[in-house]
Amino acid sequence: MANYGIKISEAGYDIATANARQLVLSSQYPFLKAYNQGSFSLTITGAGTYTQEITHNFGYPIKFVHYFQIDPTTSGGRHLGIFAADSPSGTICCESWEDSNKVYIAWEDTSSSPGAFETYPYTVYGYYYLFYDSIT
Amino acid sequence: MADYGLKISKSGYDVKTATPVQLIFSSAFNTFKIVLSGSTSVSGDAYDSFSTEVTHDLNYVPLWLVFYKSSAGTYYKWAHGYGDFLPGDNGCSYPTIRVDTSELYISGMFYEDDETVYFYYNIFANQIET
Repeated sequence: MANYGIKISEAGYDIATANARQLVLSSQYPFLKAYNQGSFSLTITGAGTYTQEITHNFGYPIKFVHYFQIDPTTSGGRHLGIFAADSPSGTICCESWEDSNKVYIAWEDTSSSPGAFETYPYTVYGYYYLFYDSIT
Repeated sequence: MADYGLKISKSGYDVKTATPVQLIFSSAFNTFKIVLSGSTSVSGDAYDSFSTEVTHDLNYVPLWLVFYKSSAGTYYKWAHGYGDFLPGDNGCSYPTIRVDTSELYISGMFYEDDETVYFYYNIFANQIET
């Protein structure tokens, strides 16, 4: 097999001998290609599932990641993360799913008693990255 | 230190003055390199637990990204480690994903009889621990 391609090593490493971890880029290894990034907010007015749809129309399921932040952010344990908060067990979770043309990102307030997690209404902010790369 | 490398800016930005956000690529910044990708599946009945492993043998703990789809469901999902039932969909619980220096471990529980769950994994050259 022909040995060709592009490699860029990290500073301090010889490109001829650097391993994959020591390379900034190698055409031998694919990397995620960002298609889009964005944000949205959801106002949570009671227990339930609140869903944001993001349409890409690629015709195949794509790789993506997302994060959440809750307003107010000043309370302890609230931060930008996948779940965004340390909460009483069973009171919140986030969901994401997709088909060939859309990504759905949802916030679920599953409080057994109204407002067990937070006083209604409260706002969650979602941030996402979509990639051109197919899951399959 | 010598100022050298490769930069590619987004359309409309001068590569000489572009900020990192305005660059498509810069050799000053590492990229997420996929060294291993593929799929695996598990089959079973409701409330059975499942586990499977993917060997990477990198000798360090790598970043990973896993998606999955149940035969009982319609959608693909990002396996980010914890959650609840998928609204309007069926299938296994959120799987737990763990990784060490040689393996990616996938485990969870089926919610449907005669269910198959397909996992699509990506393991990166980049390590979690620095």
